[in-house]
Amino acid sequence: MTMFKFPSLRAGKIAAAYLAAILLGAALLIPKGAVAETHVVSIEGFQFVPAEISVSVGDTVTWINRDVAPHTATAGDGSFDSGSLGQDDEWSVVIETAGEFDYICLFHPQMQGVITAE
Amino acid sequence: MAGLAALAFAGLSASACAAGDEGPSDLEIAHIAYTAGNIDIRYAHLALALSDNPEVRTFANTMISDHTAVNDAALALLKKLNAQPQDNATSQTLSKQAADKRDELAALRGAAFDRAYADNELAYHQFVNKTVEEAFIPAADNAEFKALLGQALATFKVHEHHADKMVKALR
Repeated sequence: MTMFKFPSLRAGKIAAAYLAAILLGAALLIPKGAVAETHVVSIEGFQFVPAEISVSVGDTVTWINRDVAPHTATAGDGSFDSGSLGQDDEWSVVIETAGEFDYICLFHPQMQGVITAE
Repeated sequence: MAGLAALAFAGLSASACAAGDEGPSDLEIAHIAYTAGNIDIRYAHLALALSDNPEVRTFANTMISDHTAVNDAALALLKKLNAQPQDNATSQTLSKQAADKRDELAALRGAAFDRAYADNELAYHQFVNKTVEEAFIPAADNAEFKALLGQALATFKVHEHHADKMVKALR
């Protein structure tokens, strides 16, 4: 009942190897920084860890609250606000403009962090 | 405050002797810590009802969210361990003293209330932190419970610093 023939297993393997090589080559040709990254900031012991990060425009920043107490990541200029994050909650934002963004926890304003986006 | 601390320790050692153990049991500590958290939540609700000061209101809201989170974590752990917190003389004394303090605060208005609330928050957190650090954490047997008390202490120490700043700002 076979209507057509699959290529042989060996031919398939060779094709896959070529495809992988092409994709790898393409990945190497893409300038550094063009692929959006995700930066994780842990909130633990009433601190943002790390408190200072550098990102590229288009990157994502994810905060994960490891404390029992709820926290927020709230930009001083109002550009982002996580709202209340309970224990083990996480929240992400895509940084869409260059600049330096200071942020705090609204509940514990002594907790401060900064994102530098280029 | 020293009197309150002495009373609390006296209550703890009395129940500890009855149990034939060193220090309070985990279930007594859990009850006292939960009670202490609820007391601060009630002070905070009083502040939200009576104060117009933005700093006092921000502090009170943080007390409600943080102490609720710590108490919820304690309840979740107790549930997981299939245990019930055990009422005791110290919890009862704390509750009685807090009721008196609430009456005292509720009679005040304006800046007088704000200062009295801030002073009480600082003194209360100093007392609770000393008790948790020096009595409860060393006495706790269950490892998870001990760890939770450590997290709670870290939280309450932040409150103590925050309260200290609030006291100074309101002078």
